[in-house]
Amino acid sequence: MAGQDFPSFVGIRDMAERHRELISRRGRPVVGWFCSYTPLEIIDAAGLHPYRIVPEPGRAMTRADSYIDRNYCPYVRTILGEAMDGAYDFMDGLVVLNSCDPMRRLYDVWRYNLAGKFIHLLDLPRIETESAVAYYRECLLGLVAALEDRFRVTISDAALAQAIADRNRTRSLLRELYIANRESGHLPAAQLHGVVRASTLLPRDDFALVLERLLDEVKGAPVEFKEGPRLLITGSIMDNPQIVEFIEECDARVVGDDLCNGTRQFWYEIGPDTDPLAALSRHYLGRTPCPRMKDAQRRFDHVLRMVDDFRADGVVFYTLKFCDPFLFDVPLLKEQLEQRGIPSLLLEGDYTPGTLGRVRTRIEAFIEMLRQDVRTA
Amino acid sequence: MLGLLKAAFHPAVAHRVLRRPLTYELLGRLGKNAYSRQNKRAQGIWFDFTSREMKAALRRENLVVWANAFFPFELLHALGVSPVHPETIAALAARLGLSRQAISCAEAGGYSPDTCSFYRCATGLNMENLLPPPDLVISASYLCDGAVKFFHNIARYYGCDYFLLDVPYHDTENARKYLAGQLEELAGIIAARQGKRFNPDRLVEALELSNQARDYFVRTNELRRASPSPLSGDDAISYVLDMQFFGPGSRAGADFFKALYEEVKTNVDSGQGPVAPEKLRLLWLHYIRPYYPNEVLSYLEEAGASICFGEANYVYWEPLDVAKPFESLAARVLANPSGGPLERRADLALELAEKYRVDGVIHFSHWGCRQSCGGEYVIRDLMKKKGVPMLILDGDGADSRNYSREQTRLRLEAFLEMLEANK
Ligand code: SF4
Ligand code: SF4
Repeated sequence: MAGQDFPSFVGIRDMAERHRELISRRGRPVVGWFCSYTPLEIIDAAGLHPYRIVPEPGRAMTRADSYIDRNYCPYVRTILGEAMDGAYDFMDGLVVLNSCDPMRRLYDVWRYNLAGKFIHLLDLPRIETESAVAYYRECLLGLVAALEDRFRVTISDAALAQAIADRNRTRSLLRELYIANRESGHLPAAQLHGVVRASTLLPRDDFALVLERLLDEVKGAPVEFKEGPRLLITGSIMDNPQIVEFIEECDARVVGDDLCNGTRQFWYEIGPDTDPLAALSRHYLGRTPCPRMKDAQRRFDHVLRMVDDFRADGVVFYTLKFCDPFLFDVPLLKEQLEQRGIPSLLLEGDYTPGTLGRVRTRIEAFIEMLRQDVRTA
Repeated sequence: MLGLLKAAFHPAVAHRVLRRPLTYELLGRLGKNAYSRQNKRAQGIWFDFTSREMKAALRRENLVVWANAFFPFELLHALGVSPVHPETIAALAARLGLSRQAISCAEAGGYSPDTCSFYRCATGLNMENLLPPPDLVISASYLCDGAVKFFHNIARYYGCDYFLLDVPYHDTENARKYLAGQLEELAGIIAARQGKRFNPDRLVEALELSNQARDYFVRTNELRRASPSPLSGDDAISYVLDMQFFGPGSRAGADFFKALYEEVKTNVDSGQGPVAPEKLRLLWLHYIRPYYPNEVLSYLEEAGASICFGEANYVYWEPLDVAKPFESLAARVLANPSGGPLERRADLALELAEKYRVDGVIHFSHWGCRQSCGGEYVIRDLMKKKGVPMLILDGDGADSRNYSREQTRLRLEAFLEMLEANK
């Protein structure tokens, strides 16, 4: 496959595999996070290392059975199962956002069963009015105070401004990488996914270095697109990159995504403001919305724009089971896509590797249908 | 009464009948009389109140506003809008046997069977044009994610405005200010839509009525400590809960809780109750129970187990301060023990188990209700530490397809046996 022998991608993959070691070499306390609304800049500015917890599929799921209902967001269940197995003992703290019902229960059940660790719940408004921005700024201040207190650090405005500038750089590079790859088709989507994943694990400066090199290479690559339908994925968490790989094995291309652990993390940069916390508040409430926000149409518009920008022929909805915010969006977004002649397919994942087998035939049928559409178009 | 309703609302005729304002006018009168004759004055008031609201909304007598159960209705009564509360309508539809069809309709429209059936049912009833179209849609962002999304989708369906009351997680000064500000803004928006200025006197009046209702409700809850339990669990988690959601701030709400108090007091004074002899006392956890024809509660009561209290009926808010109407409504919203950290709900459950001297607890694990199911194991564990057995009863409030009579019965039977043995 193209890109497989990409030196820089391999570099990122190796680093991602060695992430624990790299983090420990830096000697910074590690703070785990879950939701893409987490203001990483504050954790950076505190001199801590933010680390996104996204377990591999299939691990520790049954372990969660005694701690939380079975009919529950499998992301949350897997995390709890792994936590009970001690997989996150190496972390020094956690920041949980009040993003959805399962997230706030993750916070509760974790604390009940694993007391002792620093764990902060950060509230998160669902609207983006001026008063919500002001309220959220207060909540961010609460996080600042809690981190300062627990880790005996001072989070200065200057450090926040620096962290914002650094993260903005990563954001824009990642975005550029997506756009460059959209043109060249050089990196398979699963590898692109791996790069984004690495950005949430690795020490920031290590990552930035390789990312820049990778970007140069992708930009310079010849156009390598195969024929076949172009797909955009929108969804909650992509637990299993093999799904993306499989789609590409069926001779379709996943050209872009709107995923919680994809572009939603970085697509827009943080705007300037003399007050860095206000800048963060405004940014996070106003960025590409997740389905949990009130203004779903803003999200739909974003997806429709991405369909245009990435010249997608079809859309795959990929949601983890029991993700209410996403499930309620499906009928509306599906209809809006249909009105533009864009077919869509709903796939549900349950955080087990077995998902793949079940969705295989549906993906094949969808791609076959698109291929006929593309041919007759 | 419900039997009569059911006969009238055979699904085949339901469509025509349910959309006529006159139907509700008639029903309201009939119901009020019938219930009063049975010494169920409170239920009569509820019936009349609910029918009148439906009629007003169908006649479009005023701005029609859809709102969720956890929104502070005092504000809506003060503004004189015609409220529609789809969650209750879904429960009623389930009682009348209309929910299955509605749910299938929603699922055919792309709504996942994994979401809460109350919202699927309401979505379907709406697709079948059985509900009065809104001029404005409002939802408080709690207790669940489903509320935020369902009401949004309804607003889109009708192309009307959606106001989300964004309820903070923590109960802090800042949170209260933020929430009170939103309520005040909303009052202005609604008044403007009605072409008038917001009248603060009306809000003061509504708050006073709400306080009256609250006072009687608190006293009723105190009386419910008696044995045998003076109020049936069935009533408590149906029409009483409805009035608790939608009544506060209205005259009917105040009248209702006074009448309820008197009925319960009569029972306590005469040592009567729906379950006699009362062999076991149970606490019910969740805001709902199955509403379609089922045997859960009747089985328990026949076996001598009373649902003597439910967390849903607990009065968690302080009397409202008429001098600070928006702030006190905000405080009321933020005081809900099901919001914020789980400790609040768990502590309350433990407190109620003790206060009502229960032998056991049933957590109704409604399919698709993440906010409540997510914490059930923790609560069960805490109860266990206190020596109170808790049953997690899987089921569904509005979708009868998820109800298995035999299985439910077996589970309840085993639980009651265990409780008996514990005594
Ligand atoms: S996948 Fe959905 S339900 Fe699960 S944590 Fe994410 S938003 Fe919440
Ligand atoms: S039962 Fe649960 S999910 Fe359904 S409306 Fe009530 S709180 Fe929401």
